[in-house]
Amino acid sequence: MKTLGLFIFLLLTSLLMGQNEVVVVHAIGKVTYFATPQSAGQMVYPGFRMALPGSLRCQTGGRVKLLYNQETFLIEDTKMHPLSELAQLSKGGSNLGFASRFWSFLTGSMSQSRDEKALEENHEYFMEEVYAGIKGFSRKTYPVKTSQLYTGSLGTAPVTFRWSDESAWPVLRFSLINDTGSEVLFALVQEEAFTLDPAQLALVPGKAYQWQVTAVNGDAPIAQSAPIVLTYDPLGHEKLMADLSAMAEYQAAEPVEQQLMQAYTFEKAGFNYEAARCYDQAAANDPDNVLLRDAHAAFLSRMDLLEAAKKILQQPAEKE
Amino acid sequence: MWKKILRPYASVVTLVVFVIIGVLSVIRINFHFLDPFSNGIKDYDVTDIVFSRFRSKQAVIDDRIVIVNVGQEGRATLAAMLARIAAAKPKAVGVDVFFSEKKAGPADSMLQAVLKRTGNVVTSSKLINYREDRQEFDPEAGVDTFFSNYVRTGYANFPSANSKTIRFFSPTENTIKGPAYSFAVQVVRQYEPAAAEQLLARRKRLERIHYTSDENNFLQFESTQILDTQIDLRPLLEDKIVLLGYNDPYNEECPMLDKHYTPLNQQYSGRTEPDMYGVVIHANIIQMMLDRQYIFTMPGWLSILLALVYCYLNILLLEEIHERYPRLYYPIIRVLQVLEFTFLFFLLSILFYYFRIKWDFSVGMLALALYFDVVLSYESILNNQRPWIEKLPKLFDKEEEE
Repeated sequence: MKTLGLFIFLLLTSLLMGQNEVVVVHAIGKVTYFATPQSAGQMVYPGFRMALPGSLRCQTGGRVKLLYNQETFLIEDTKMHPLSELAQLSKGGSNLGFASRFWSFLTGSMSQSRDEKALEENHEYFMEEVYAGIKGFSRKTYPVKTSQLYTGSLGTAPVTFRWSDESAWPVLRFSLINDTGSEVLFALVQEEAFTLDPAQLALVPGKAYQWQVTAVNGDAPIAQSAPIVLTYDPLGHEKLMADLSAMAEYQAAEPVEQQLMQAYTFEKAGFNYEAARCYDQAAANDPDNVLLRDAHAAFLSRMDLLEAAKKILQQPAEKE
Repeated sequence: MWKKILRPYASVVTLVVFVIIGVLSVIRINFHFLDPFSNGIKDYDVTDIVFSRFRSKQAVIDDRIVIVNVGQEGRATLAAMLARIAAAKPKAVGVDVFFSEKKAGPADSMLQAVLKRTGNVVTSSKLINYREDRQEFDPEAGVDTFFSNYVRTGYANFPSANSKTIRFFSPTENTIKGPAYSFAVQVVRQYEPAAAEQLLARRKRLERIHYTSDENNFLQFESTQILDTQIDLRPLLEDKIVLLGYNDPYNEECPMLDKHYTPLNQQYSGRTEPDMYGVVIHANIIQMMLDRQYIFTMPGWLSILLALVYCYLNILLLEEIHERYPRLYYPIIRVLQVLEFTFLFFLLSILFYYFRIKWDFSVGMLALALYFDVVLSYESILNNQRPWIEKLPKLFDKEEEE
């Protein structure tokens, strides 16, 4: 009897624990899991298991399919998603029996005819269901151009946001918005750059912020940049450096190689701005290093800064 | 008892029903005007509804099989991916890619070296040029000997008629060079040889695929994740089957590459959009073999015999109802027909779903649809006052005669 009781207890416990676990089935691009709001983000991959109190965010272009309570969920926007949302969305894995599924199939066609009747009567309600046309594969163009350098993660060091405005409007409004849509900071600037010191702002670690530049005439917007999402991660930089410094390969590397390794590590973790800083520093230290020059140019092209990349590649040719 | 069952009227009408069915099946008329309809239902099988609609929607990850999307990566990247995968010690690796010709450059040598080193890799091949006189295919094609000398190959061909729905697979075929095995069989031979032997011992030329999973039932890796040295692949891939193939639904350029129609398609008739990548179809076959969950098809002769009995019993029932409710028999029979259709559909579905018995009862269904109209036609013919016709058993004016 005791054994049976223990067995039932273990079974229930394992079931309850299993229900609190979310498994990544498929992930594309950069998807980060935060066990707590304060903790550093972890990259997720298929088979990665997460606890329900945590949160998840996809970076631009990222996508993740999750399994929870025998149901799959797809997340593909850049918002921070508390995993507890899944518990609310879960319908218990649609555990209908065979007979129920058979019955819903039989009655399904009847509901379809009911739908069609409703469609004929009030077609206006259904007009937004289907669009016959394609989205188009080109990216939306914005008159105010920025780069990928300012996407990803934001550390505590000051960042100079740069952009170029085709309209050459004299007043530009830089704004930083939190994930609830409230403005955290705004500044009216004349130049095509604005330096922000994240350490001076009350930003919440792990939270996503969106920055955007708008050319304004009074309150009226004239031209805009694409909204760019950044995650505030004050500890990420130190953690990455600590992990890297502990590696034997890093310790044995030449200073330039070390800087390249740093740049690569930062870029991989989404600290694009930090990576750019490392490349700049390395280039300043060793301007004739061809490998460094190519790596730097490749990085800039990945950041959509093709003109800057071209300029770097042309430098040695000019010398010759 | 026997007198009640063995009735001349029911026997004659059953015979007439089956003669009509036989004639209908022999006459071939090209109904062009019905093409949109016939094309829509050509690709339809009752069991497709079981697969697509009655299957449990609960997603459970199969912890024996992992899928890796190779996208459109080059051979050098594939070699690097295979090296990382091999280091995680999977039990079998299936690469659903045709390495059909050797290309210039070091990538092929890198790939060959990895295949040689790994040892448990199966790659895809093609069966081509069936020779009817010898009943053999040419030797397996689609993979260059530069690679095939170091791996097992399995053909990725699927038998499929015009409809292109993949319902069957052929476990083994004869080639000039001897027997060739399908991709899934070769992978299972690496993973669990006994399961492959059991399938081959069934000696069936074609096996119906028991689809139990879609892509959501497998962990799906991308090439970047496989190559990411920060991810420890060992706990994720060790002792498992790793299938590499094209599984890229979000690729805007070619989302339909290697995507096929299967019975799991939600649109079970008149399918318009393929629903499953080739690598997931292979994974389903592998699951079926490992679980020994084969589909049993009821022999044709038994189906026809049961259809005969079924039609006969229906006519007996009609006699009974006519006798008891002479004024109401018509609506009762029509309602009964609809109920019986539903019941038969339920029965066929349940047999397939729980016992994996595929029972083609289309003749019985046709008999059910026709028998009452045949009875009515038969009775009206009997009103013709010919002496030989009068000898035939009658139902409708029996009471009047009595």
